[in-house]
Amino acid sequence: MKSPDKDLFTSWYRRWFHQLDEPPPEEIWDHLSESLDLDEVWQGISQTLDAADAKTAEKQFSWPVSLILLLFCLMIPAFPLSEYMVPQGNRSGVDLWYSDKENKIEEGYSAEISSANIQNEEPEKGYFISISPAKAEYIKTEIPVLRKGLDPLPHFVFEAGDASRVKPMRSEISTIQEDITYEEIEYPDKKYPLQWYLGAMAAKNNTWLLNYQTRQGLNPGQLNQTNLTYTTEFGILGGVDVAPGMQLQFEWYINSQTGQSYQEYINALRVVRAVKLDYNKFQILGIRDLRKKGAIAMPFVAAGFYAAHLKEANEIIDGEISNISNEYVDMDLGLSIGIGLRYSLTENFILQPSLRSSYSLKNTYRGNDVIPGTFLPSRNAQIGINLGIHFLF
Amino acid sequence: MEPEHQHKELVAACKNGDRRAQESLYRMFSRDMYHLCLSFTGDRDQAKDLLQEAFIKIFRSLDSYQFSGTLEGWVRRVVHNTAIDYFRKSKTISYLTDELQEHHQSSKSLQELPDYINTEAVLACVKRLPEGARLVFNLFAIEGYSHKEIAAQLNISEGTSKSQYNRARGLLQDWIKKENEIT
Repeated sequence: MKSPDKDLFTSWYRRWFHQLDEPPPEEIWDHLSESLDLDEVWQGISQTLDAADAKTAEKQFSWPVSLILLLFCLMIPAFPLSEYMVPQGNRSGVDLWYSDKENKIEEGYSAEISSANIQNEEPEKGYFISISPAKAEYIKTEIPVLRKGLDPLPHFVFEAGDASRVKPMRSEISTIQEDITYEEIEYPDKKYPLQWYLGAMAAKNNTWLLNYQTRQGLNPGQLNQTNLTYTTEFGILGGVDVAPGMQLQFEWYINSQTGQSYQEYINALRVVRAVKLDYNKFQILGIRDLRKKGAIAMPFVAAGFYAAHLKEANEIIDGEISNISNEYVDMDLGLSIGIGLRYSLTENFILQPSLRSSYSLKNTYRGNDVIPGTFLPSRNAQIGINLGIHFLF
Repeated sequence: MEPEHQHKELVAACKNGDRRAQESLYRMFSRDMYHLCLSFTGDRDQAKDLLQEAFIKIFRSLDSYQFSGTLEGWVRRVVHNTAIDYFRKSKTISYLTDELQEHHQSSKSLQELPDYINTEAVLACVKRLPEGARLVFNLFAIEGYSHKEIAAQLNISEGTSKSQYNRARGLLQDWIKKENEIT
């Protein structure tokens, strides 16, 4: 900046300007304050929207979390599935078991039986174990690991030393001593025979349209009330035993209904208003058995995902049906979990009652001309009893 | 406490939305800025609107103030930028034309200008100037910008800035003298 010229009028004007002593009207601050208040209101709204975005991000994040949970459910055994019996024979044995955490075979104290519970092994690659030198003499020799009904039999060779490599080797039955005793074992190798099944199922569900309206209606003080809503669904199921105690089950619900019913005052009349959403639902569940194979009644846990395509959405007010399909999104995606029991009716027919619950991961409400979808986010949730029957091939 | 340090604290509090700090900052500069707005507009209502708009901008853009210059300098800059925007908002900024100039017969005798003159009278004269000429005159005479800087801000040539300033000064001087004679 440079000083203005030296002309006298400019100096006079500047002098006049600096002599001005007029306070700004007080109302300016009042208006300014109001504007800043409005700014604050907007800031609040903005933060809420940001939080909503963050929540959305969390929900998006819930997919990988869900996937991890599913993998957890499938991969972490509820009990040791692959149990190897190390035949005892005349040897002075110790109990051996594989420790996942320390990646080594640990010793027990039983003199009667030697066993190693080994999980997640890859027989082709082998792996290292560490053995205490003091006990090395017990395991210098070949210790065949047997499994019933499946040949050829792998066995481990324990080499002396602090750190020994377990080598998968093949062993002939004849090499096993007569007096060796062993129990049934399961061996989750690549040769595990896939067992398929196919069946049908039906479910009775308590469904919820989780949104502001529903939550408000649960408050007894509200004029409009939320009713408990029950629907049915049916479909076909198929599955495969992917590993001992683990199945992958596919379910196709030809008709899966969800929604919510309300008691509302509409035009001064108390009427029932129901939102019914009909879906075509496909679900994949990972099922984990909770007991060893062979039990007649097998408890299990299940977790998975579903994708449901909206066939039709209707609003029923006092018996009058109106189609509101355009107000709901075409595709709903969500999580499913459950616990159940697999009961063998015969050798091949299995009854599978279970308690299931599902929750959609995205807003299913698209909105209408009056209410944008983001103003009334809705999610489908349900809890119900599912009964399936299937045939084992 | 050093004024600069005080300003930093004040600005920090304003950024946090502390209403009392915002009011303090407003009170600190509003009088001077109001005068500037009066000189820019020649009209109390417009000056009021301009000042309000300028302070909204100030509070909303405080984050951009990096303490590289004085706080007052930054506030002044926001005010005259707001003034430029204010005049641009409704229409293109008009300048003095030759027609207006024809009526003007400049007098260089400042003895005729009084030491004190009614504010209303001066404001009325200022208001008679087209917005462009008013801005040029104020930016040069009050704010101390060079014609080059003014030309860049108003998107006009340096020559235009100079001629607008000279004409505005002559007209103002004339009008104020006449106002003085009347009163």
